[in-house]
Amino acid sequence: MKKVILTVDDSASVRQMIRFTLEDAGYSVIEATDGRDAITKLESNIVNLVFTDLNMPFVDGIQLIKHIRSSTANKFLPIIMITTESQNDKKMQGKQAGATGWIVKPFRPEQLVEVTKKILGS
Amino acid sequence: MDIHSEAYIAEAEELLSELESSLLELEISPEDTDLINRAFRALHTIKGSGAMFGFEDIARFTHEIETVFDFVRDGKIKITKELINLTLQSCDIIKIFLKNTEQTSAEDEIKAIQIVNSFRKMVKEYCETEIEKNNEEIAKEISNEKLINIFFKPEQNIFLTGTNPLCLLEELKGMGAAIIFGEINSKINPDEFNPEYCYAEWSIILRTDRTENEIRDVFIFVEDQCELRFEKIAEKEENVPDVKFEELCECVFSLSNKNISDIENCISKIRKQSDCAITEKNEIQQSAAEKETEVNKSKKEKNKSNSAAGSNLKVSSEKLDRLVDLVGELVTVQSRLTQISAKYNLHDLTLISEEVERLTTDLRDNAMGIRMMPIGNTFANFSRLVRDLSNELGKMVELQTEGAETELDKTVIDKLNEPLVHLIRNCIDHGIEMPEERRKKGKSTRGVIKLSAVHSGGDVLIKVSDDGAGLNPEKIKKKAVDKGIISKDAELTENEIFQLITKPGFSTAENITNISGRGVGTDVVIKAIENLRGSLDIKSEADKGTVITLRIPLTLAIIEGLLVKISSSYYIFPLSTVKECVELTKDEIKKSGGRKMANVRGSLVPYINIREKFNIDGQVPEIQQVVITEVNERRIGFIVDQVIGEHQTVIKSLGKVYKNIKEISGATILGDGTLALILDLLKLIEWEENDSVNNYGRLQ
Amino acid sequence: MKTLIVDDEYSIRQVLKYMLSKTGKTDQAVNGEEAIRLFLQAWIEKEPYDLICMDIMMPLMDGKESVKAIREQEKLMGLKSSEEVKIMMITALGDPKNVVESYYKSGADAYVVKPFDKQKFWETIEKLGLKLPNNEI
Repeated sequence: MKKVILTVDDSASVRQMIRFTLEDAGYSVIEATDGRDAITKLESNIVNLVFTDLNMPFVDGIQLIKHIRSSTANKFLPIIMITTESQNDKKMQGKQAGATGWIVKPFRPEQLVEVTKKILGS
Repeated sequence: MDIHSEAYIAEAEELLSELESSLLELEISPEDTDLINRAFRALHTIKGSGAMFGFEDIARFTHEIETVFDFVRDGKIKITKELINLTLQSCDIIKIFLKNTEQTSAEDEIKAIQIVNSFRKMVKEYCETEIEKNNEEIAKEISNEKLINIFFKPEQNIFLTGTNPLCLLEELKGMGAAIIFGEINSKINPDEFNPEYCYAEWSIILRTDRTENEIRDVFIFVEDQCELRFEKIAEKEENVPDVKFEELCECVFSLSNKNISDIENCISKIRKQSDCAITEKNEIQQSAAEKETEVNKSKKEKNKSNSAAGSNLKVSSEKLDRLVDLVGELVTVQSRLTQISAKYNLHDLTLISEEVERLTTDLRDNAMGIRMMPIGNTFANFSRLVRDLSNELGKMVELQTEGAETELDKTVIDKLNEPLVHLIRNCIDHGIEMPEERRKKGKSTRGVIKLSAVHSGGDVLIKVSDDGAGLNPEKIKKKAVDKGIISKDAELTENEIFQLITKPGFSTAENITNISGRGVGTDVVIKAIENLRGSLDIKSEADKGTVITLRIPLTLAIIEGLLVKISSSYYIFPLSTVKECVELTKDEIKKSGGRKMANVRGSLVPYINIREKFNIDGQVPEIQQVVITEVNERRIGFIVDQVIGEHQTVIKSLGKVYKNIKEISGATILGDGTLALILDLLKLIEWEENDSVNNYGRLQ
Repeated sequence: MKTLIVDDEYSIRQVLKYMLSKTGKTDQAVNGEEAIRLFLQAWIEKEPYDLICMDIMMPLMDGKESVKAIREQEKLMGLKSSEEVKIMMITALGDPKNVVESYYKSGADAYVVKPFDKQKFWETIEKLGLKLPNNEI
C-alpha cells in the first residue's frame, strides 16, 4: 500500500513541486490549499505524513498543527513545517504545538525525498 | 524600429527606474534580501531581453553588473557605498545606450569600460579571498572511518510530536554497520504504563565514514526532546591500513549478542591493552550555530505598488488627450441640451436630458480621473537628485516626502517636474548650510528638505520646504534696488520682498554655480507655474528655513464656474473661490465714499469694479451684485450686474493672440453658443493693487 | 549537455532529438506537466537539464504556463541565475505576440521559429551560452 502524503500550502507551485517529486518517489499525494481545506481532507482520507506551510489564510499552519494533535485519529501523525529562514519564532511555535520537523525554503526536490524517508522510513 | 525594440525600450526604462529606487533603499538597508533580489531581477531582465531583441551592448554591459549582484545575492560580496555608486552610474550608461543605439560617444564607451573594470575587480577580490579560505577548509573535511557509541533516550511524550524513534534508528543503520541495543526503562510500574508514552532507550555502536555533523543530523528534529550522547571510540587514520582499528571493530561486533555494558567493558580493556586511537570522550559540542544576522528592517513600508495589484494598461497620451477633448465637447453640447429642454418643458425630453446630464458628469469625472496620477512617482525621482547634489556640495541632506498618494493630472505632473527640480536645487545650494555651519547654529548637521502635496479646495498645494538659512529680506531688497527692479523708497511687505526673487534677472548668489545662481532659474519656475494657472508663495524665517508653496488647480480642462453677466458680456468665476454673493445698491456705494468697501454682515470687504477695469459700456443697473471670493486667504469682492448660476465649463485657451491677457485665463462656450470669459482672480487683484499703488504714488 | 524536448507533435520531437543527438543526452515530454515532472526528477538525480526546448502551443498546459511553472520551481529551490535552465521556445511563424509575452511574463531565454533554420537554431543555442561539443553547426 502506498503511503499517503498531504501537502498543505496556498502556493500552487509548492504543491506542484511536492506532488510531482513525491509521486515519482512512490508516494501518493493529496493537496490542500489552506488549513481549513486540510482539515476537510484529513476527515475523509487516511494520511501518513503532512507537509504544511506556516503562513496561510483562514486556518494557518500553527493552528492546523494544534488541531491535528488534538484529534484522536491523528494524534501521532507526523507533520513537517515548511518554513523560511527568517521565521525562527514561528518554527519554535510550531514545534511547541507538536510539529515533528521542518524543511526550510528554498529547498531542492531531493531534500523533500530525504525528509520523507527520514520520517516514514524507506 | 520594430515593435519589439520599442517594447523593450519602454520596459527597460521602467526596470531602470525600479532598479534605481531599489539601490537607493539598499544604501539605507544593505542587508535587505528582498531589495537585493529586486535589484538582481531588474538587471537580469534588462540583460536577457536586451540579448533577445538585439541590444547586444546593453546585454553585455549589464551582464557584468549582474555577475556582481549574483555574488551579493549569495552573501559573498557585501553592498557598499562604492558598489551603489557604480551601479547608479551604470544605470545612467544604460539609459544612454537605450537612447542612441547607433552612435554612443567615445566618452560614454570609455566610462562604460571603466565601470566594467571596477566591477570585475570586485569579483576578483572576492574570488582571491575565497581560494585562501578553501585551502584552509579542505584540510578539515576529509572523513575517516570511525567507531562511535551513541546513546539515545527520547523523552516520554515523543510520540506526540509524530516522531517514530525506530525510523531514526533505520537512518543510522543506513550510514554504515551498526549494533543496536534497546532497553525499556525498568522502573516503570505496569499499572502506570501509558501506551502513548515512550519508555525505551537505545545504545548504538556505529561504524561509519560519515562526518559527525551528518550523524547528528539524524536527530536534528528531536535534539531538544531527548538525551543524546556521542562517544567516539576509535578513528581510523586516513589511507593508513589500521590493523588496530579493524581488530577493535571485529572484536566489538562479535559481541553483538551481548548487552551494551559487556561491550563497553571489552572496549576499555582493549584500550588499555593496546594503543588505540585515543577516544575523545566528550561532549562533542555543537558547532555554535551561526547567529542569524538580524536583517536591518527599514522603517519604511515596502511600497508594493500598482504593478502587483490588478492589471494595468499602457495608453498613449495622445489617445487620452483626444478622449478628454471629446468629453469636453460632449459636456458643452450636453449643457445646450439642458438649456433647450428647459425652454420647451416637455416631460419626456426633460427626463432624457437629465439622464444625459448625469451620465455626462460621470463620464467627465471618469475621464478626468484617468489622467490623474499620484505625484509620488515624481517625488521618488528626487531622492536620487538630492543624494547626488548633496554629495557634490559636501552637504548632508535628507529628503522627506508627504502626500505621495495625492493625485494630479498627468500633464500637470509632467510640467511640474522641472520647476520642482529647480526649487530643490535652490534649497540645497542656497538654503541648506554646510554641516559645520549648521552645527555652530545648534542645528543637526543633516538638513531636511520636505516635499509635501495635499488637496485644498479645487487645487493642490505642493510645498518645498527646507530647514536652512532662510531668505534675507534686507539683502534681497538691496539687490532688487541695485538691479533696478524696484525703486529705493518702495515700501514692501515681507511677502512682496520674497516675491522679488522670482523676477527675471534676479539673483543674490555670490557664486554662480553650475547648479543655480544664474538668475534664469526662479523666473522659469514662475512661468511654468503660470502656465499651469497656479501661484507661488514664499515664506521664510532667518536661520529657520524657507517654505515655498505652489498652488496648482487640479485640472486643466474643466472647472466648475459661476456664470455672471456684466452688461451684455458673460464671465466665469472659478466656483471653488466663490464664497457668497450680496447685493450692492447705489446708496451703499455712495456711503463708502469712494473707498470701494462693502459691508458684509459687519465686516468690510474690499471690492473690485470689473466694469471699470474692463471699460465695459452700458447702463449700470440700480442694484448690482458683489461676488465675494476668497483668494489666498483674503476676501475680495467683485462687482457684476447679475449672477446667473453655476456652470460647468470646458476651458478653451484664448489662443496665441490673446494669451498675454493675464486677467483672463481662458474662455468657454455657453449652451446657446455665446462666449464667456474666465476670470483669473489673482491677476485681477494684482492689477487692482498695482493701480492703487500707482494712483497713490501720483497723488503724492 | 542534457536537453529536455517538450512538444506534443511526434515529428517535431524526432527532428529535435536528431539535431541535438550529438550534444549529449536528450529526453522527451509530450506536455507541460510531464516536462515539470522530468525537470524535478533530473534535479533529484543531481543531473539537471541544461536546456529545455518547449513548444508554445500544447494542449492542457501550454508552453507559456509551463515555462512559468518551471521558473517558479527554480525560485522555490533558491537557484542562482547561473543554475537556472535555459529555455528555448518553439513558435510558428507569424506569432510574435505570444513570443513576447512568453518572454516577458514567463521567463524564456530565446525562441526559434518552425520550420527550423539549422543555422539560426545553432546560433541561438550558442548565444544562450551553452557549451557544445566539437563546434556543431
